[in-house]
Amino acid sequence: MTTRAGLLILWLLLALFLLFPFYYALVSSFTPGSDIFNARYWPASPTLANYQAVMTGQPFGRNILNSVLVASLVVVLSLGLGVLAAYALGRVRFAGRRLLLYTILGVSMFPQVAVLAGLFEIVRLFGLYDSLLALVFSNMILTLPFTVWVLTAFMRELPVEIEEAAIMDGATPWVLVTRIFLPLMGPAMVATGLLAFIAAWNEFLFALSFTLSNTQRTVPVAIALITGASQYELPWGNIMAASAIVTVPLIGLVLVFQRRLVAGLTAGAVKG
Amino acid sequence: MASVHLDNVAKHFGTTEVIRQLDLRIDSGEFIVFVGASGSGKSTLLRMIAGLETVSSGRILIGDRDVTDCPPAERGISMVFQSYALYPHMDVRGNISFGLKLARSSHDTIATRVARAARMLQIEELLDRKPAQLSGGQRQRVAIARAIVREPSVFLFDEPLSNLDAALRAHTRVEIAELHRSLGATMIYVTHDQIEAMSLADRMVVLKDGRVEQIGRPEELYRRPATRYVGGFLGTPAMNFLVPRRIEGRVAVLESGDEIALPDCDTAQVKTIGVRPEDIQIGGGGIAVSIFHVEELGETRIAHVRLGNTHELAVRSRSIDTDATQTWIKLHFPADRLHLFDRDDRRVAGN
Ligand SMILES: Nc1ncnc2c1ncn2[C@@H]1O[C@H](COP(=O)(O)OP(=O)(O)O)[C@@H](O)[C@H]1O
Ligand SMILES: [Mg+2]
Repeated sequence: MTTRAGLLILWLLLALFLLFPFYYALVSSFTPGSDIFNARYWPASPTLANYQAVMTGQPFGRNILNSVLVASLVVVLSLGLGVLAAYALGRVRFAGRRLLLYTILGVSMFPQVAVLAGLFEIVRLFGLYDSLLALVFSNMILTLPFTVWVLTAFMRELPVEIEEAAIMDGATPWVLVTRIFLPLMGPAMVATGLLAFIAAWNEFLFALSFTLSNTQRTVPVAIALITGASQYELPWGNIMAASAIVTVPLIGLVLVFQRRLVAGLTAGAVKG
Repeated sequence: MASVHLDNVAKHFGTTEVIRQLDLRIDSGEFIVFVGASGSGKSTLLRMIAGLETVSSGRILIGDRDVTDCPPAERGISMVFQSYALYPHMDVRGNISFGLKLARSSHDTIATRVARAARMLQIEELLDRKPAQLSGGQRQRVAIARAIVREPSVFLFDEPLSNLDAALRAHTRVEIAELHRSLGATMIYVTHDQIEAMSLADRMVVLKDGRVEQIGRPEELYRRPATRYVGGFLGTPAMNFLVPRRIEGRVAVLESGDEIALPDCDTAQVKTIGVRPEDIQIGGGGIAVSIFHVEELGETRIAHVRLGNTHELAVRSRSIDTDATQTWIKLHFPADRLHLFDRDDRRVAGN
C-alpha cells in the first residue's frame, strides 16, 4: 500500500515537473496585458485578447501554413529517402557500406551553426533564398541521419526469408518496397516521421537565416519576432498565445499516433 | 512436373568453396532429399536452384530450359522456407494469393486455386486470420498452400519441419508424402534429419562439405554406404566402427587380440570395419565384451559395451536384460553384414 502511494506521489511530481512550464504558458496566454507580471496559477479574468493580437499583428495564419508545408514535406522526403537508403544499407552488400552508414551518422554531429554558412551558399546557388524549399532542404540535414539510421536498423530486423518469399512470388523491387517493406515498417515510420515532423516544426536557426519576408517565415521565427508596443517591452502574453497555438497540433499528432508509436518503439512486432 | 539437371554446378563465397562440382539429374516427379550435417551446403544448393543464389560455374536446367540466368519467379518453382516466411501483415488468403496477384491472374483463377489449396491443406477456416494468430503447424500449412497455388513444376523445401514438435513432425511428414503423390510434382527437400530423409526420399543425396558423398535410394544407402561418412550418418544408434591392428588374409586382428572374419574381397585395403548395432549377434562363441549401460527403448534395447580398452560399441537386441550392466556377453560379427572401408574412407571394392 505504501509503495503504491509512494509511486503515485512520484508520478505526480514527475508530471508536475514536465507539465508545469506548459501549463504556465497556457495560463499566461489567457491573461490580459500587464497583469501577466503578477505571478498566478489561474487566469483571474481570462481573455482571448492575446490570441486576437497574435493573429492580427502578423500573418500568423500564413506562418502556420508555412510550418505545416515545410514539416510535411520534410517528413515525406525523409521517409521516402530513408526507406530507400535503409533498403540499400540494410540489405544490399556493397563495399564501403559501413563507412557510408557512419558518414551519415557523422552528419548529425555538426552543430547547426557550423553548417549554416555552407548551407547558405548552397541555398543561394540554387536560388532558394527566402523560399520554403530552402527550409525543406536544410531541415533534411537534421532529419535524414536519424531516419536512415532507425529505418536501417529496423530493416535489418526483418527476416530476409520474407523478402525472398516475395521474390519467389514474383515481386519486383518496387513491389517489394511498397507491398512488403512499407507495411511492415509502418510503425517504425510513424515513429521516425513524427520525430522528423517535430524537428522541422520547431527548427529555428535555418528558418531565421534563410527567409526574409514575413510571408515566408515559419512559426518559431514568427514567434521570436513578435514585438511589443515599444522596443523595451516584450509582449509575453502574445508570445505565450502563439506558443500554445503551435504546440497543440503536436500534442494532437502524438495522441493520434500514440498506439502505432508504441508499436514502433517496441519493434520485433513483425515476428508472427 | 519437370526434370532438373544440375550440370556441374559450383558455388563459392569469396574464397570459401561451398558447393564443389556437383552433377545431378533429377527425374520429373521424383522426390529428392538433400541431407547432410549443418553447414554442408544443402541450403545453398537449394537456393541456387531457386535462383536466390547465383551459381559460380555450371548450369541449371529445369525441363529442357536453361534457367541459370533466370530470375526466381520465372523458373516455375515454389519454395517453402524453414521459418515459413509468411507475410505478417497479410491474412492467410492474402499470403496464399500474393504470387497469383503479382502474376495478374484473373479473380476467378485466384479464387478457385486458393479454395482448392485451402481444402487440400485443411486451412479453410483460417483464411481470414493473420499469421500471428496461427500455431506453428498451421503456419506450415499456409506456407505449403502458398507454394501450391502457383502450380509450379518443381517444389523446393528447406527444412520445413524443423520448427515443429516431434509428434507434428512425424504427422506432417506423411502429409507431405501424400501431397507429393497427389500432385505428382518434382520435389527437392532439404533436411539434416536422416529419418525424415529416409522416409520421404525416392533418392537421397548425402552432402558433406559441399561434395556429394553418395546418391541413391534410401535402402541402398543404408545397406551399402559408399563411404564411412554415409555409414555413420544413417541409422540410430550410429554404425559401430572398429579399426583393426592388422589384417591377416581374411581375418582382422583387433588391438585386444580378438579376431573378426572378413567377407571375400580385397581385404588388404581395409582400414575400418563398420557394423550396425542390429547386425551384431549375441551369444554362442565370439568376442567377449562387458556391458556398461543398457537403454530401454520399448520395442528394443540398446546395450553399450566395451571391447578391449579401445572400442565402445552399441548392440541392438530385444534379448538383452536391463539389469545386465557390468556383466559379460559374447558378440558375433557376421561377415556378410560387415562394411569395409579403406584408408580414404571409401567402401572396399567387392564388399
Ligand atoms: N552468404 C554467404 N556468405 C558466405 N558464406 C556463406 C553464405 N551462405 C552460406 N555460407 C556458408 O556456406 C556453408 C554452407 O551453408 P548452408 O548451405 O547454409 O549449409 P546447410 O544448409 O547445409 O546447413 C556454410 O559454411 C556457410 O557458412
Ligand atoms: Mg540450411
